[in-house]
Amino acid sequence: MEKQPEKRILLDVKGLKKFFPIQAGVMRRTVGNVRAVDDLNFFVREGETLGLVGESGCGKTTAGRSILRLYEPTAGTVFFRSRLLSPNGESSMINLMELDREQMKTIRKEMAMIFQDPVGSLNPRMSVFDIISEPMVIHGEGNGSLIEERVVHLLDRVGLRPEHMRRYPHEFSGGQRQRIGIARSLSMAPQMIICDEPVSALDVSIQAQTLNLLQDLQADFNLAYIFVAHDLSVVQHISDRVAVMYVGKIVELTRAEVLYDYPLHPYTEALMSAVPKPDPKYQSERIIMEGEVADPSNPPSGCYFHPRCRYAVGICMQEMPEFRELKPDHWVACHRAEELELKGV
Amino acid sequence: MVINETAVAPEAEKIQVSQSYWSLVWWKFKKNRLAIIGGIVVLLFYVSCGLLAEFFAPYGLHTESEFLEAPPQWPRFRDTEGRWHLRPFIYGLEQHINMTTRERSYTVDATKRYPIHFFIKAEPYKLFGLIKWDRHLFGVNPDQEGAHVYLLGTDRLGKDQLSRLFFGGRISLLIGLTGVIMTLFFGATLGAISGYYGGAIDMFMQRATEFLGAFPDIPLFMALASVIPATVSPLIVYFLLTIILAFVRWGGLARQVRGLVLSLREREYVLAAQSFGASDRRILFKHLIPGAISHIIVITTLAIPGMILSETALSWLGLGIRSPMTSWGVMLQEGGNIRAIRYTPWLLIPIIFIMLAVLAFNMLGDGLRDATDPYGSR
Amino acid sequence: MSENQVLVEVKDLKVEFDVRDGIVKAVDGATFGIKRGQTMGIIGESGCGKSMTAKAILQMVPKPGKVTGGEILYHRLIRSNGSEKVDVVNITELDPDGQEIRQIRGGEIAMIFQEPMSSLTPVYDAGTHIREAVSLHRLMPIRKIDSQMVETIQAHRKVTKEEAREIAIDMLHKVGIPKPEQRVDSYPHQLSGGQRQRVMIAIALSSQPAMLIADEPTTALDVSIEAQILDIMRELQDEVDMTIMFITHNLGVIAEMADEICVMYMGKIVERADVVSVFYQPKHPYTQALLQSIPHIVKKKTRERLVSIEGMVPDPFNLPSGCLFHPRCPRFMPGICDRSQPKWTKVEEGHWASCFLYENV
Repeated sequence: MEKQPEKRILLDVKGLKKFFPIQAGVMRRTVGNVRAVDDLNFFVREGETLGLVGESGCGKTTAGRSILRLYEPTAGTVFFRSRLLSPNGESSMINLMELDREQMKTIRKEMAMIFQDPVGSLNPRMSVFDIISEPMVIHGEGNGSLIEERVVHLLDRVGLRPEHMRRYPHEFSGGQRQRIGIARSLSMAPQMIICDEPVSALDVSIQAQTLNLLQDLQADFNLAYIFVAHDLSVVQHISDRVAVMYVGKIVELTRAEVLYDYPLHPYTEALMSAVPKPDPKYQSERIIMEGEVADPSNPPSGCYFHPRCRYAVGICMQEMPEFRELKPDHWVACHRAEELELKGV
Repeated sequence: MVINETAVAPEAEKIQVSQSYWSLVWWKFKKNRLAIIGGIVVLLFYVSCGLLAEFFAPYGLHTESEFLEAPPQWPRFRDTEGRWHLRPFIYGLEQHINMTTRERSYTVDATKRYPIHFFIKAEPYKLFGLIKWDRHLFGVNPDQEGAHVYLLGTDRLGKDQLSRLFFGGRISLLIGLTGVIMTLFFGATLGAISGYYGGAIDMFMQRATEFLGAFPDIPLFMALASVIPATVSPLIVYFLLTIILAFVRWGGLARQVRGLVLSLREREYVLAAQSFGASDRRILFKHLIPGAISHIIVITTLAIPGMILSETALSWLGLGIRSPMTSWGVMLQEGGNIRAIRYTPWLLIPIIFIMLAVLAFNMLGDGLRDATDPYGSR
Repeated sequence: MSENQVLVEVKDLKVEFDVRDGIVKAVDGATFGIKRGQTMGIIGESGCGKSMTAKAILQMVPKPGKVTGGEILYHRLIRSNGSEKVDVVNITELDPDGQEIRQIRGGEIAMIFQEPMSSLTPVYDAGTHIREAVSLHRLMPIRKIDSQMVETIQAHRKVTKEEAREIAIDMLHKVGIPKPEQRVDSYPHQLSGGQRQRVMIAIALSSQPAMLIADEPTTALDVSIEAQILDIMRELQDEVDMTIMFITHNLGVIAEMADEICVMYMGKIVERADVVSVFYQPKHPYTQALLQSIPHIVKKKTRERLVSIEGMVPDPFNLPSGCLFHPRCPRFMPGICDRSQPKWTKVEEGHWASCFLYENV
């Protein structure tokens, strides 16, 4: 009688910040900052999917790239359970911010990334074989025939054929190109993949194929995903846990089912209400958020959402709410979270 | 679990050959008539002048004669008596010197008939500077007394203009090529580094190129060229000149490459490579530069005419190639004064060749530019 | 009453593109009618021909494409002295550059697009008249909103410049732009994407059109802004009893907005019915598959595999024999579906599909 052991934490992000300086004037002085990522705290377990959802400017893409240090974070720590860098064979949590270039390179074998744009994310001058094998070449793994074997294997796993490796990206459709990108990300057998809007640029029917593929691969390889997207329906479908972001902050974080039935944050409630439902009989009073999405370079005082929030009161304009665990595994940043009764979908 | 692909992209079935970027470029290039013509002309120029000038020219570079400033002679097939000959020939020239005005004039002497032979043995030379040979494409029989063939006339030392065109072309065309290649190395590398790293390096390089670029061209050329000592051999002059030209012009290329790299750097596939741990060097050489190469090829092809014209201008001003080395610019210098235009206009024929070369390069460059954007029409 | 009368009829429309590699049938025999006051939704994935159908209605098919068959009839309602008369205009016979179509374009039938500020990617090549661009409701980035709106209004209504400006401000107010009397003097780039889209709607509606064609108007917008825009469109439609032709690939949006839906695939309409029937009783296998392949936020099928449509959209130069959908169809019947094209069949009252499954009903 075996009980499922609780999955270990694979990634633990604390206080992650990424600001982009705004320069103006002849001397290019820094006059302000775009607070793209503003104090993120979350963790991801092995083999699970964390969805990162939000509208434009919320910082979700920047967050994904900052975790991998593709953008150098302004502050915060990112702990990752690395197998390759752990001292004595036991995998332990390593702070990625403390690693030098060589060590980060090793980490990049364990954390890969898939990108949004099927056209731009593949170098048009390189053959599919070169593209998929590039990580192997970079890390000096294997020689000619071994690499070829692995590429064929990966192509097969994503549903493409061996002869495709001699071809070039422009000969493939968007959905196929995404699969090539997925194959590439798998080439070093990572533990985690950050998926940056991987299906947003695809047609509806291809989205389904790609999402299925990602789920299958996750089951087969025990992959953890951070799934960044703006489409709530997609995120809800594929994620175990979901973090809702607004202007650089996480406003709510909990399990997917819970989020959609019992949201605690007004933004989550309004966002879910705003999503057009593919059901003509769906009746629900829509909560309209007035105004525009807040500007990350000049956010409102207090809680960033207060100008658009129908429940805002005095304290919301003055104080930034704390991101706290209100219920078990349900985090929210709202002053009125305890008292509000919000509608789920 | 494997997803079956029931409908494979049918394009994949149609195509037998690799659709790599360069094969697409070639396919598109082939369809452009003008570009092909330009390419062939450029090739012809470099082969005939650059490599095989000695063969194509009926006379050596330094061969002087007593026929000073003689006009062009047309090859004929029909003689004054109306007879047709299979082999083209030239009628000899008769010099007359007007004793009073000291003017020289020439008349055609129908008694002297010099047939033109092909692949004829004439002045010996060293092909490519190595192989001894003495065949020329065409010429007159050296054994025939007083035979000469000056299809484009002669200069004031009696040297055959046509032959000088070939030899001069060699210098002009090679300067164009080597100058641009040097510019390429300086400009492209520095531009790429500047674009990729940005920051202080970029700012410094930009200011430097702007500073240099703000200098007026001709005076800068003149200043630099006048620094070349008069006693130095013409070959060294040639090299120094090339370097000077490259030095003044690399700024433009550097800026263009920098712009290219800046835009390529933001491409997602560069980000992707970084996410897998690619080093900066790898990104520069495997991603950025190959992405920029097509543009660089186009830019350099279109820069060569500029180099040629610069050299022409410099030499015409007397600051460039020194005799006895000759270039098209030097030839123009001799023909570019009032007296020459009035009395010996054939000395300006090099203009036609310069224009031809420049046009051919431009057509080739335009064709390359269109071809290297093969995704444009898709 | 003008209720339930047809406003625009499309009959067997064919639009073809003659490209180097052959002829692409962007639209291959589309037939439908849009009733006054209703919203007709056209749904399909990229390349299905929905945008081209809309463009054909306004004779705006870009070269090298052209309308090669069928007809489009516009039933123009003329009110005079209390009585109504309907004048049928055959749009397909009008000259694409002529006076008549230009009067209709932007005046009686207006169109809004996905990205309002795309004079960066104009419909026509360089050489387009600015007037044309304005009548197509693309915002030119270098001109103030004020002048662009006034020009459109005056092109279609007999008013003075001052009156036109008043109308413009009123329209901006209607679409929810705060402080419209100030905003009218700003430039397009000073507005956000959502605001620009609202301005586009304002411009489109300022000439009081009989029909609005909306081609993916909210695709580039955030969800919260999208909700606002859809809301405005519905409000305005109620207010002026306007007809809308709404084109999108987003099933959620079309479920909200449309009264009737045409589902398109590879240039053909494969199913047509009212919105509830399409979503609850889809007949064509493509429609069924499409509905099953989207993650449904309401149904909460977390972690279950989506039912995806096998294969890919076929190469336009290498079309399958018979029914274009048959290689991917879960209900494929060998010997039937690959032999000939299915006919447009009435499955139930008001519900049509093009599929062999229903041909013998």
